[in-house]
Amino acid sequence: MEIFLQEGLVLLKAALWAVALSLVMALVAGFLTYLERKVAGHMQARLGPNRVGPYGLLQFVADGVKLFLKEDLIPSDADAPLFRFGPYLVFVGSFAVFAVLPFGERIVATDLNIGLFYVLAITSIETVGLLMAGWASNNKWALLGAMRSAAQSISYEIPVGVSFLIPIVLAGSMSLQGIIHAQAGGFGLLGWNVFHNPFSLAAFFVGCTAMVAEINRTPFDLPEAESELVAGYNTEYSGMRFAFFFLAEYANIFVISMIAAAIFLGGWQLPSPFKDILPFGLVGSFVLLAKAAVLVFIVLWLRWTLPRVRVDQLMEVCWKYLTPMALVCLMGTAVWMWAFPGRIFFGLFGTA
Amino acid sequence: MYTVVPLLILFVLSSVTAIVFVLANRLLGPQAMTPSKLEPFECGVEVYGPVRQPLHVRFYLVALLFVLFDVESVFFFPWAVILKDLGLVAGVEMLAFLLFLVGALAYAWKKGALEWD
Amino acid sequence: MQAVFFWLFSALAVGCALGVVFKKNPVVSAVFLMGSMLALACLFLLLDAHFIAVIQVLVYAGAVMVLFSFIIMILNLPQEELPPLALGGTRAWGVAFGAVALLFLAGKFFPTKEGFMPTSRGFGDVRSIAVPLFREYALAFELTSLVLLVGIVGAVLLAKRKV
Repeated sequence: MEIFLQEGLVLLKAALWAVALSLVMALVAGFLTYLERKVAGHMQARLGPNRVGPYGLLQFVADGVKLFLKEDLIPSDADAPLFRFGPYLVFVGSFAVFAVLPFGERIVATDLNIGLFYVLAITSIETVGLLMAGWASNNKWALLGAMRSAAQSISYEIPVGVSFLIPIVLAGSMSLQGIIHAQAGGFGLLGWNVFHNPFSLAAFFVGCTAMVAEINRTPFDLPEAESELVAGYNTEYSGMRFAFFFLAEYANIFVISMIAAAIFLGGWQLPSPFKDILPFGLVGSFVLLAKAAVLVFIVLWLRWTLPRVRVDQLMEVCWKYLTPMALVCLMGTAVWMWAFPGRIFFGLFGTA
Repeated sequence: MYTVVPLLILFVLSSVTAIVFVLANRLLGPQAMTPSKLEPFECGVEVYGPVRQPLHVRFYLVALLFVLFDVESVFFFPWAVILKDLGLVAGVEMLAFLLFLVGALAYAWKKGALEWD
Repeated sequence: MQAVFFWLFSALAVGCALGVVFKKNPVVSAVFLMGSMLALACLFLLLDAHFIAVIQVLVYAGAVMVLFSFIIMILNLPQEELPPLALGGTRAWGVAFGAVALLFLAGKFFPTKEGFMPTSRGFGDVRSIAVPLFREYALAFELTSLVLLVGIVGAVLLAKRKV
């Protein structure tokens, strides 16, 4: 009996988490679509959306309702089951990453001991979803867009994976919470992995560049290069299925920002006097979300600053620059840990 | 086991959400199919030639390189976790491992396999 | 609860594997293969072997699947261009070998009366894989990199051959 009660509790808690996370994902992705248009507007001396709700804040709700009211088209030559399956895979994949995102010191759905590795694996599932969608559409643009997108995502997964290794080496753990715990000290700032040593600083930039490319964002948005490929893999999609790709894309921006903030920028670490002002370490949660928000803004900013790269440059950047650089950072960090065991860069000069 | 159940529930729930969304879209949206709507989009002109033609072999090369490097990175992860405990021995082992990897990358580079031409 | 999940995922894995064999469309077969891989990963998760489960997803359901799909999509062979497979005797051999393998496995694994055995603490942890890998099996580990080197050289040679 007791066993059943225990298992029931586990199930209930998991179900609650799942509902909460789906709300978070929908809100975050929706809000990001609004934010992107607002940021774009202001960068081009426009106002951006400002009609629905205060400051146009409810624009994404209106967009969502509109997508529900659209006709759900499946082209007659498309492979219908696969055409339906592709968006699901992308949606479920991008949602699944939320399960291991740490939202605070005690706020995480499931802190897998292989957290970062899991993130990497789930991302590659999304790639398969894109491929299926592009192929099933039976459209030249969609097929080419999907192939390009997949080729790009998988190539950049290598530097992303290698740069993930640096926080893992420093923490001796793959769990996201474990990595954040390892960044304690230094007034909640110098303990960050990014300040640990010169190599980890470089790895932060390598990793962030590679992650932006992996989720196909500008300046690496070749799969959706509208001047060449119409809209890439989602050319034939409409209504909710189209919305799934969009949701996943914006959710991914949030996910990479959260992960970068957690594994390189100290996560929810705070100087100890501030830690217990609010219950559940909520101050830390706000700090983490603020760091992620800054990174999200940078990702949006990039779009209006950098021109799109060419496809040959894209592959060159990945294989000839980012991958070797990430490997050098990894070995450099390993050497650092051997040469100065347990010391951070700023700790070399004093006794901190 | 208990770390996994939340994951599974998450998967199930997100699939259910997705299905409900699509069904709602089906119910709420108009259903006015016309033959020309169901044609593949080709910038407004008649569909030209078969869609599924053979593509360039470079995609294959990228995918294969990815699989091989992915397998390499699978070995990196356990190494990264225990580097602190094993220290120098693990470091030297990985250095030897990396030498082959870098050699392979250099070979691919020299052969022009990393160019997108 | 474990038993329920076990049968669920086993059924999924076998069902998807059948789908791989019986579906005519290669891309659909590939999707079923992925389903089978994912079900296997879930089985590993039930065994508390998290690391292996994620490898299963990362390498097989992710990387190898992308490779397979790429190959199918690069070739893009229409159905009618494929020559009919000369099966005949091959099929009989396949069934025979499959039956023998099944019997062997059944004899090996079915008569366990204990059901699920509790795992020791730390089982399936990354450390429990990593420490032996870099201590006892260091040589095998180094040789792996050689095998991967050969793989990369082969891939480059194949794709870059001037025809």
